[in-house]
Amino acid sequence: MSSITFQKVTKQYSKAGESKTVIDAVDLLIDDGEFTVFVGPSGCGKSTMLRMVAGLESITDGELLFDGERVNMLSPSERGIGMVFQSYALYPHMSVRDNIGFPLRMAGKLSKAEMKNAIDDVADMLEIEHLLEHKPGQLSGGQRQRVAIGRALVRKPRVFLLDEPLSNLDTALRVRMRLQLAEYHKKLGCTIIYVTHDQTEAMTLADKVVVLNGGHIEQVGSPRELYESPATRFVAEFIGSPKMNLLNAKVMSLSPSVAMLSVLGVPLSIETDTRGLVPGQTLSLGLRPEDLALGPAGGIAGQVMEREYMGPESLLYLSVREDSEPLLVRCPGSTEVGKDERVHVQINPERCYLFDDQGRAIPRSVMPSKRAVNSQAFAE
Amino acid sequence: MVNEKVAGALNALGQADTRRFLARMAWLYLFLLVLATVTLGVFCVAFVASLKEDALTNPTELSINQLQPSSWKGAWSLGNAGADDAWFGGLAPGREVVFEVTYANQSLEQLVEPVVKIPKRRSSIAQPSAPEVSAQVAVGSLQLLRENAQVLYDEVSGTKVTPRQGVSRTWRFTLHHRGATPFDQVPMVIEVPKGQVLIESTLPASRIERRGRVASWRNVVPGLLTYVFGNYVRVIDDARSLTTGDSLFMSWTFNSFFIAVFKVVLTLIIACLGGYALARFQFPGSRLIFYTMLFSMMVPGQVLFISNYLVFRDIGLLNTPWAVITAVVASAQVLIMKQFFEGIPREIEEAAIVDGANPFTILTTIFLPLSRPALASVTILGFQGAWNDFFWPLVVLTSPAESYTLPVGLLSLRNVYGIAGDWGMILAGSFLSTIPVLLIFIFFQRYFVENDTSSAVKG
Amino acid sequence: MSATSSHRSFYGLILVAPFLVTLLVFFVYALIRALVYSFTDYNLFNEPEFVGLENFLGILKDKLFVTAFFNTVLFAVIVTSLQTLLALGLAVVIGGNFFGKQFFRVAFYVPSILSSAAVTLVFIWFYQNNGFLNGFLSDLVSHRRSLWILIAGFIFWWIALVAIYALRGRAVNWFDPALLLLSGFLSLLLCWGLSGSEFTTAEEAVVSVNWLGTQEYFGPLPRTMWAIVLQNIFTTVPTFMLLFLAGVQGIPKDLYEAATIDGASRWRQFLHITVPQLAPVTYVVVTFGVIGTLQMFDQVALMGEAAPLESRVTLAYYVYHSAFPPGGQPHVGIASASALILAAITLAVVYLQKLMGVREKANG
Repeated sequence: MSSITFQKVTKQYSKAGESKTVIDAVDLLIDDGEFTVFVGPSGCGKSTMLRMVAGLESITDGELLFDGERVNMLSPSERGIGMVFQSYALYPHMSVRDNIGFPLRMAGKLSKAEMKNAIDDVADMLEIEHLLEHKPGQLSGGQRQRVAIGRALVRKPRVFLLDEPLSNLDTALRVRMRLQLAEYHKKLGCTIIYVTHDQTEAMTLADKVVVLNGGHIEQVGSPRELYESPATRFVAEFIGSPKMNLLNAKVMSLSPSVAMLSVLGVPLSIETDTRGLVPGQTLSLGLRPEDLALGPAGGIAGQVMEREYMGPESLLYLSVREDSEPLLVRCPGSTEVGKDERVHVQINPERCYLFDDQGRAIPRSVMPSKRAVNSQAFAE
Repeated sequence: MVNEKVAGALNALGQADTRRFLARMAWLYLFLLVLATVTLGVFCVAFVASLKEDALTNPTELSINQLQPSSWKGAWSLGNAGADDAWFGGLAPGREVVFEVTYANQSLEQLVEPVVKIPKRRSSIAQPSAPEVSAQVAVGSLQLLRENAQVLYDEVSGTKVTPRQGVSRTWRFTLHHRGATPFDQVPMVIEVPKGQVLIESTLPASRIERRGRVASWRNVVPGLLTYVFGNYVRVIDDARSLTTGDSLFMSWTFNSFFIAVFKVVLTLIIACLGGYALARFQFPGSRLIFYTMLFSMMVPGQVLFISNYLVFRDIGLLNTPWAVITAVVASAQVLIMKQFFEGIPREIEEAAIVDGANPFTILTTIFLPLSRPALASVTILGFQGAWNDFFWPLVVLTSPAESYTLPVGLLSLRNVYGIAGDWGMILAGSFLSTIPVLLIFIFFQRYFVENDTSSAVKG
Repeated sequence: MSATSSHRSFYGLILVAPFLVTLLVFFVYALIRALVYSFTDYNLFNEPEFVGLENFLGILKDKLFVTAFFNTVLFAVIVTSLQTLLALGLAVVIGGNFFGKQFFRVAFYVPSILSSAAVTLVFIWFYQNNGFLNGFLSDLVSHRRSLWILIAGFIFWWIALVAIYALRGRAVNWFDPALLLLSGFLSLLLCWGLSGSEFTTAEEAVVSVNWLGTQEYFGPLPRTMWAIVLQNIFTTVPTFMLLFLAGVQGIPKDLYEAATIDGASRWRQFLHITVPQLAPVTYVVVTFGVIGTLQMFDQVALMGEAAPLESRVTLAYYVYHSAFPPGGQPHVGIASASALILAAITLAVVYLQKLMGVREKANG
């Protein structure tokens, strides 16, 4: 177990004289025993971050600390990490037993019997005892996954790293493995860093989610914090499924704590911190589909372009204005609305998000207090 | 009428596409058989010729004495009688062998008793000091065994064959060893007047000379193997080192094996290490090395051999196997291994790094076990290449003859025996030299027929 | 630079060291020395002295070098084109699926695995004045009557069968394989029926062509070189056939199916699908072929005294001969200069090929 600290960690690749920064002076603290997920679109640098923790990628600048100790110059095996790769990277020519035993063999500290015990323990926990003599080629995807986890765990790592471990599995298996991973974490209590591009995985698994974009951190926080008070427009869009609606909102008038906006020609008054706002300014108004409700009249009017029925709920795609994206509304599955029907959408002023033209969230005096967050949030 | 039938058959033939398909297959197989006859046939006729005592007589004749069961019987019993060795023959002191010859001629008056002699020839070219056979082996008196008043026989002169009718007589005589030296070979000559034709003998004569007047036997106590594979035995036995007296052919074979094995091992080591480095490591100059490697594959060996020859001359390794073994620029093999290693997923290597393996451990425990096909093909093709290599050994192995490899040795055989027209021996040497590679080919066909190609095409 | 990457560099250098050493000593150093020697009068024993371009000018005036040059270039052109065409044709023929495919593949491959020394000796025997080739030709000539009857019979039956078809008003293809097969069979029957009659008597004939020990030219090359051409093709075609075979099997079947549906004949399919699809393999085959043939040495050296030097000399042999002349003084300068010319030709051809290959890719 250990905590991990990034201090101004930077990664640059230089190719043909040109250097390209992929991680830009990142600061981050991961607490002991925390399940941390790095999430972001492809190319955001999340895998590079993980590989720097692993020692597979050199650190161009900055400090990486495990329990306060600098590990920049340590080789992967000296850092006491275990890692599961996206393709599992099992050694195809070795049996499951030899695969799991390989890190022990390399360390060379245990006797044969101790090694056998260690392997059997891990296999027992992962329920793969019956597969120990098989070759990886004979196993199913889920079984390989567990062997890879076993190989990473057998050395009792301080930090357990997983690089998109579930992306090669089918949906049903992914859900099951997700639960199992959570269970292993509870059992082992070790620090886990998990990389994924799938926000659902991030939300379900993490104690702490780190949203990365273009080589820098957008926001760090618990899943709920990210969902309820996204720090940036990027996070707001990235977290939550279906995606948040973003509409242009024009500031009509301001009072110290209330802003009068015009959204699609509909007036809307929102309690917010109005410092820094100017009348006439255009803001982005974020509305989660689940926060919108169909109403009798008033609000935003739109025509149902498409309706996706999913049982408990339905997604409505409303065309609100010809030149804008359709507005997504999530409503109960039983809602009786047909295609091409005209409907009205109520906006709940307490459940909307405002972002300035830089994509930064505009702090809302109301929200945090109304929605208490289990705040063991990362304090810088 | 006939045309009607033919036309009827033709109708049937033209009706179905299957007929056409069958005919096409028939042509295909005909073509393949002709081709296989050409490719293998060249070696088959050469092999038959290599059994003959004189490979240049009647080269297209495939039914030869060495392949006749009656000759086998004679060789077997002569070897048995001479030295109790039916396979390799010889004449032991005190032993006696019985020989029978049958001659034919137009009339009984013309059919005279032949004169049997042991020629004054050394028993072995390479051992000039060996005692003469003629001094120790005595020919017993001839004894008339049978007479046949009605025989048909062919009189051969040049390429002309005249069938004749006449009489024949069979004589029997013995060859008795009175000396003390065991002989491997005992030559014999039988002389008769012109017109008298040898039509049968215990062992067929090696040569008929002087218009049929002289029949000579290279060895009358051959044993079965020595008779059928006479040239093969000779190529091993006759050519001997002037200093040690060892069989040159055996030295060459040993050298070839020694060189091929060590060269393959060295190539494998260089190719695995170098291929791994170039496939997975970035270090200063790695690209330069890579391009130099590609370049080196296009530069003819003739540009490089003088300097390399001087290098080995300066360190005093000329005429030793090490000069052949160590002059390895394994560019092609490094390239093959590099490409194969690049196909191994990077994540597997990273997993091993995380698990605490260093580059050498990764190479030996992960990469090499995963590269068996590439290793096998580098090994097998490397052995074949080293075994068949000619130019470089020719440059660095010049004397003594014991230091040659088989291909260079074959050249010296060709120079020594080709002038004498002794092609049976040269062919025998050629075939013997190919046996190891042929065996490897038979056992590891797929590495020649499959791997070689696919990796090369992709490259 | 952090620990990991400098560690990796260090290990990389260690791993590549053995290869690097051999590459530096036996290639880079050797190449540089060849360059230096080509401008000197070095003879293996003296102190090399700079002589400028004398070596290069000298060999250009040397008749043997000019002969070697033309022999080599023509040999390379002839052998590369013949072996490429033959290998391609063979690969297409045996590329299909039929019983015994493996056997034939192995049978055809045997000449490729044997040492050039062994094969060359077999061929020298083959080419002897009283060797197999002349013997075989003699046999053919002496049975010429039977052969004529066979050929005439075949043509007769062929025309007759086509005529019968046509008279019966049926569409008939001259090259229908069944038809050809039947004609061949009937003509064999005819020949067999006539055996023993005076139409088929063998006549005495002795063919005695001097294949090797001659200075005569046949077309652009000495007859001896043609003998080497034949032997070289015999040993290289199988290897290249296998390369093509791998290529043929890599062509997607649906291309042929689509072409068959479009009504393309087999010949057109070969021209418009097989040949273009095999372009990358052809590139490899031609490159290997050119490099191999330009360096032709083994067969020439093994011919030895069987043929006069002028009718077998190639550039590679010229180099060796200048460096180690039998009983003469080594001319390392001349050997180096001519070797460099050989290398320049090789590199030029490979470079040209690459240019053409690139253009082909751009078009395709």
